[in-house]
Amino acid sequence: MNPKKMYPVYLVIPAFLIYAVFFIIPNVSGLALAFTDWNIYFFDDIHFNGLDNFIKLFHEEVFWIALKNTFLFAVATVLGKNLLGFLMALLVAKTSKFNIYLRTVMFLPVTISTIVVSIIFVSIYNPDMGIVNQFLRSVGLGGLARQWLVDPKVALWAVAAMEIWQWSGFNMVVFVAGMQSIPDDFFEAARIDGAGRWQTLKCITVPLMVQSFAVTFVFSIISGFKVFAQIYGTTNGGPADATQVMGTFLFKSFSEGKLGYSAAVGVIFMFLILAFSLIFLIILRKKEVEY
Amino acid sequence: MMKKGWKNNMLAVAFSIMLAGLSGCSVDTGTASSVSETKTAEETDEVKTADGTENTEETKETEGSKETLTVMIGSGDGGGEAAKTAFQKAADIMGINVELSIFPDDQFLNVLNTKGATGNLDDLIFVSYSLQDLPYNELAELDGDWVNNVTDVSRQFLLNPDDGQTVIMAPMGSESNMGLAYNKKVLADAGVELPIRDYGSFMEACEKIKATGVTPVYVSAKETWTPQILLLSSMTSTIMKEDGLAQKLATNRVKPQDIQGLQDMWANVAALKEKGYINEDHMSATHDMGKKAIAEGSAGFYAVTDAAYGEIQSEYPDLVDGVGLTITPMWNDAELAFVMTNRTSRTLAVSKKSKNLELAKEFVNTCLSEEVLKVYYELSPGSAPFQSLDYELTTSPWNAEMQELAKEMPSYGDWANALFDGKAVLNPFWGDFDLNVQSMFSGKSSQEAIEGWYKKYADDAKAKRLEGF
Repeated sequence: MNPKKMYPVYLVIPAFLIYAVFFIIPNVSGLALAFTDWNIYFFDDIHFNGLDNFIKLFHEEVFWIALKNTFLFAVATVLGKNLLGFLMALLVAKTSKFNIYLRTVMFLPVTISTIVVSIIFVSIYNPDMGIVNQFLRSVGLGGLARQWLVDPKVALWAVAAMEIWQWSGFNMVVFVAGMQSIPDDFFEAARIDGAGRWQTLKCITVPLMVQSFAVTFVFSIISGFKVFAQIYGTTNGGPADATQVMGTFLFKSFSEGKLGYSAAVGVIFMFLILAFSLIFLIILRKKEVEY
Repeated sequence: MMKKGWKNNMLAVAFSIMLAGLSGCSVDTGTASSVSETKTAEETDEVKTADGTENTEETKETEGSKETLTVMIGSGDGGGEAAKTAFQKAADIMGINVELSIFPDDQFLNVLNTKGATGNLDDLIFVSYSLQDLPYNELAELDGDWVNNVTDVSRQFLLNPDDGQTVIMAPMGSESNMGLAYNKKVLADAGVELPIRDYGSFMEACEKIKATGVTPVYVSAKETWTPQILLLSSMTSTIMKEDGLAQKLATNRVKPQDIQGLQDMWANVAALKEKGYINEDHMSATHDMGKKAIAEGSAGFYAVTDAAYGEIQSEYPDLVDGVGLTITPMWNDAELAFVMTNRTSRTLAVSKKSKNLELAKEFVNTCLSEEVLKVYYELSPGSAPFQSLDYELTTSPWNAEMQELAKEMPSYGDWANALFDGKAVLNPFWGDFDLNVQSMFSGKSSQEAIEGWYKKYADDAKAKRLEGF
């Protein structure tokens, strides 16, 4: 095969068209529609309304609740998934038959549909019959039993815990791969220098795994901000909008037929995810170590 | 040459695959077609319509297979037996198949509007919503002997809002009562007598019930639609009290929070929680739990629609006689007492763009025939929305109880379905009424809740470009 051979440019046309139809055009249209009053009651009669949608959005109490909840959910799950995933990776990093089995078990929740996980957790969190409260009562901690998905004070955290349970296994796999790619020489040198386990972890393992952290952090941030099915399947944003997040807020406004307004929500949403992802990526890139 | 030809062929194949994929995203905007050309009259059934006259209906079968109609329906109705059984009966009579497209209740209206706006409604829709909330321009005109037999209470809500004349909905469900279901034994043990005509007396009754160790009022706020009944069934008389008040509300000249009587009523509902008169697990309690509580007597009152009678009858047949229905006295002034009697609770409509338009219209008429209505009312008893019938449908003792009360006090629809000067002027003003009522049970003040309701309905009204918003 001739490495210098150039394929004609028109071969990219099919891929470009698909990309244009399913990504570029919808996004540009979405941006344009965010400045209109388009709604399903007057589907064929669209008017430009300037910044009205954004002004209304910023005056909407539920929007700020959704924004706050999305942020809290993202922070809690980014920390939870990475911390738990890292601990699990430490536990199963060494290759053995038992660890391979453990890795599989820990990764399994990732393969389940989020909606299915939500339905399972609705049962797990049931105030009367759910195993969480049943367990707490059986060990004499009935005072800690809560109405997990309907008490506005705990509902969001209960859903975050579900998300952490489901996705920590994914981060674990990334971390295990990261750990296994660190040359043994570094650990051997550290051992010769008399470094203990904690020092090795702190000075060798963690710094050399920044690339893995960058991947899992960006993935976790994006999935944390894009949270939808977890809330939709458990609390549906309730009670009384207390667990509303950006995804469900957008879905709700779209479902109410306010299409231009929903587009404005989508635009804000997109820039938020973009901004947070870029910030984390820039910070973590600076901490990467080459070896 | 060969190579170039091969590349061009590959390119053509790639384009074809892409276009084929994209074509799946297109919307079928083809005009509706009648099935009359494909049907054959193989057998006939005699069907008596809602006014008692007899129609001859052909059974339609295409060559080799039955034709199929699809009905969009909310999970509440789709999960129950009444609609399913009645539709199946109608399908059997016509010799066709009927399939239900069941949508979650909290998404159903949104799906209906989205599918309506894109011309993708199923053949039929079965709803409890008002026409103003629906894509009514997408619904076909209906005709049948039943049209002139509908009661005045329900008729207004079946007409196209634009012309006020064309019938586009068929009334299948009963004219419904809403109020407080009560456990007769609990009230007797506590020495509570009915009817209770004002909120002060209601508080006294709650205190007496609480003293017997029973929860006075059961609230199932996990679902948003049940707690709202407390206010749905009590606000109308306050709006009726002042001439033109409904019209002012409808044109944004008055806000609900500016009306003292409404403010008091919302505060009275919120106070049920503050005074400890409701069940502690109210935020996780469901309608099923509410029915159980009222049937078994672990609660004194529970706000419901009369559809709950049929449900309790099938779930707790031995206990249903111990449960009655009364008014919801959330008002402070006893003179505001009224019985809430709404228009027909469930309606059928046909999509204009249905490919089986004529068959779907015929299905509607079959559903309103004696044979099918008898099946429906057996499972969902109530007062049929027809002026006269030469056959009897099963009615509910709850309706009879409310009709007795209506001899002592006025009878109105809920605020959205009440007629003010002969018109349902508050029909499009829902907003997030249910969510805001629910919010009072999860910590919001009554003032925040009533303001939240106004804000949302004003937003909706603005989107609908209504006068004054």
